Amino acid sequence: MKRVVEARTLKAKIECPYRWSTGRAIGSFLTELRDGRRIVGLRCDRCGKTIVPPQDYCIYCADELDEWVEVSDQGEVTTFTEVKMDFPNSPLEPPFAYIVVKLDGADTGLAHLARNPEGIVVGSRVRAVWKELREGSIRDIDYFELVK
Amino acid sequence: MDRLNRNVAIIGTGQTDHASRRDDVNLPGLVREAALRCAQDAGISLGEVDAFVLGSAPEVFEGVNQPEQWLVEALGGQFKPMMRLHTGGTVGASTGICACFHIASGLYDKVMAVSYEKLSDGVAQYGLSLCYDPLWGRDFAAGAPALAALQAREYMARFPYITEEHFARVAVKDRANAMLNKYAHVKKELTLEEVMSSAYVSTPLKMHDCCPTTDGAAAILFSSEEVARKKSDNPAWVHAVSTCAEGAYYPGMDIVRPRALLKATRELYDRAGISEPLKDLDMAELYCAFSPQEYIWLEAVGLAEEGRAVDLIESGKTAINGEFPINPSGGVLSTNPIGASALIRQVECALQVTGRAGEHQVPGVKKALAHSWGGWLQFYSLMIVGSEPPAG
Ligand SMILES: [Zn+2]
Repeated sequence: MKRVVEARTLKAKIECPYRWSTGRAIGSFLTELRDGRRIVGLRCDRCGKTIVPPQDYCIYCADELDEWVEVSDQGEVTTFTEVKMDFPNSPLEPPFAYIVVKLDGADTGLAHLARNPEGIVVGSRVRAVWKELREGSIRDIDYFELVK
Repeated sequence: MDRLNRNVAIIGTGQTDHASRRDDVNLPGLVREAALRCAQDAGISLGEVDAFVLGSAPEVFEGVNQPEQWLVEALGGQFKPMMRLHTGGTVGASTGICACFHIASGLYDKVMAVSYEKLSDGVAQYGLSLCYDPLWGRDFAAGAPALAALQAREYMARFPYITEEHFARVAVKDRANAMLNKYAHVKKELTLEEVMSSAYVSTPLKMHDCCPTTDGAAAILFSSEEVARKKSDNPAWVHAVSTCAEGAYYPGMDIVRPRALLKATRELYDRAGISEPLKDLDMAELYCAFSPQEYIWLEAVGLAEEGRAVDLIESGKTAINGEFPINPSGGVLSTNPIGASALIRQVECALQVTGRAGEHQVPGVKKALAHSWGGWLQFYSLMIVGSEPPAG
């Protein structure tokens, strides 16, 4: 038998459905987006920090958090990037911008989108543009736009 | 913990040939290539290794869960301690540091750290897009360039005199250094013009500000002092290690001056007796997967004041023939098998302090710093490698 020494490439595709449990904090957060067009966070009494999206526990003191606060759907851009090339799982067709926005009343940056990146700089004031049909997802906020 | 409990030496290093696609080997074959070269460099057989520590990035990159189950045979790990770990982009460094701990504990005398990535087997950016929180984060940071772009933009906002051209010069330098490194993946010099005119990936990052994706692996054989004295006439020595993690998107997070990296740096210098890093060290391999990161990491590891890395870089001090070379190997910007990239920083430091780096050797290196970052800019690992055992 002739010896085979040819290197080959085998092709395959992996597809796997998932269903993620949200847990208490994110579950409530997503429900408020859907039902109330409200952005809510959890506040740590000990540290005085408001975390959005909320976590069940404070990153500094590890306390369980249960003091809900509503924060504004407007805030300030702390950083951004205009995406010019398409990537797998991209939420929009480029060009669009990823932004990190510190909502008024929150102590954390929230990562989201700006559909129209024009005019956005670090420090820009932006506001949430909500979807009419909301389903309890972070994308119930369609995108952020400049406050003129 | 202050110091390692006993001295740890590096008596062998190995790297694969790095390429966009290594179709001539499968994953175990790739890993074995680095391990064999490392063992050969140390003058021992794989069978003589006491224990293995493996590291690689998310399994979705290669599409094989529990890759360690393939690697027992490939490495000669039969009936030996073997563990695999993962800490984002720092995993290669964590692998090396974990192997150091194995030696320092006194339990083992010859421990091989092996890390790898065969990125061409899958779609790297697809894998990276799954690294974010599925409940609220995944839509907003596809791939790695966008994350590094958010960091670079914040740096530019803080220090408005920094331009995209400043970043481009780092890419030009690293790619010129790679020409001297026989193991570097991308061997193509760049001009400033070429970097500046390359297409934007995610502003302010252009194509040539970004690392490639590489198939490759690396290995280091760590040993006790006793074994090093017997087996090696030119070992390198681990002077100190430190690692630190922080959360993603927490109140007070600073991605330009990460608090976890500042803490790891303080601890590292303290453990190694370094008071003036720019004087006490001779060079560094910083994990710069994107060109702006040379500015950001130089400042965070205390080699430059806040906002002043530009002085060091513009004066040519970080060039391969400068006073404090950064990434003489060509760095991650030239070679990026993600899981191995941070271990390659340690390999390069070991080669430099033993005078065995070849064409990209920096003359007279006595102490070198290996740095890496991972996750949402939240995992940091550092190591100082010296030509002599640590004092005291
Ligand atoms: Zn707290």
